[in-house]
Amino acid sequence: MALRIRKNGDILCAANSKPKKGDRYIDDDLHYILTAFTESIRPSKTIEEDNLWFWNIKPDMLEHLADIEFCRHIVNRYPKAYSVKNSNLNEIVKNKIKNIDFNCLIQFDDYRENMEELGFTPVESILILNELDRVLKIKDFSEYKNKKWKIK
Amino acid sequence: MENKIKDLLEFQRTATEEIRYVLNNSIDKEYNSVKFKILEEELQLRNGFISDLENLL
Repeated sequence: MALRIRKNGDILCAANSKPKKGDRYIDDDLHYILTAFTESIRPSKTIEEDNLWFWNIKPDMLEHLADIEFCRHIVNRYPKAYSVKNSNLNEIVKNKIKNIDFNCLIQFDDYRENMEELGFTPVESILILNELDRVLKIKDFSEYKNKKWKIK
Repeated sequence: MENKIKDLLEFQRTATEEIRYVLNNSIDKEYNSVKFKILEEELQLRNGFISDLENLL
């Protein structure tokens, strides 16, 4: 089966897609090398519907990929969560603003063990962290909720 | 076959750079910069097999 790679990175079955300017065609022989020999590419789980292939992920990087996917999910669900600068968080800590919105809430994950040192009472700390846990209990991602998902 | 792999690697390098360029120049620096970092990391992961292919040459 031959493939074609679009300039935007999409990899498609050649037989089920129309050529576009800038495509790189992968013939049967090279496809065999990439799939059976080096395992560099793999089909989408829903290839019959989407006709897509992907560059594979090294086994030792799968956990990191899960983190990345989790980050993407969080950013998509809470678009402004990562746009808040540390100064905003500091402002909340300094002024102990009670109504913490999602934009800043997520950032408290880094301060789980130090909430009281930041100046919050135990009750406030529990309320904030309970809310944070609620945010992180997301369908299909619950197993990652205790992971560090902060982006470098 | 060696030439085919070389061509593919060259294509992949160019495409990756172009994707990076587009991402880097179309984002809102404030909030989308995080999305860019996510894509950038995934791009890097998905290019992990390039070195294996290079070793075949």
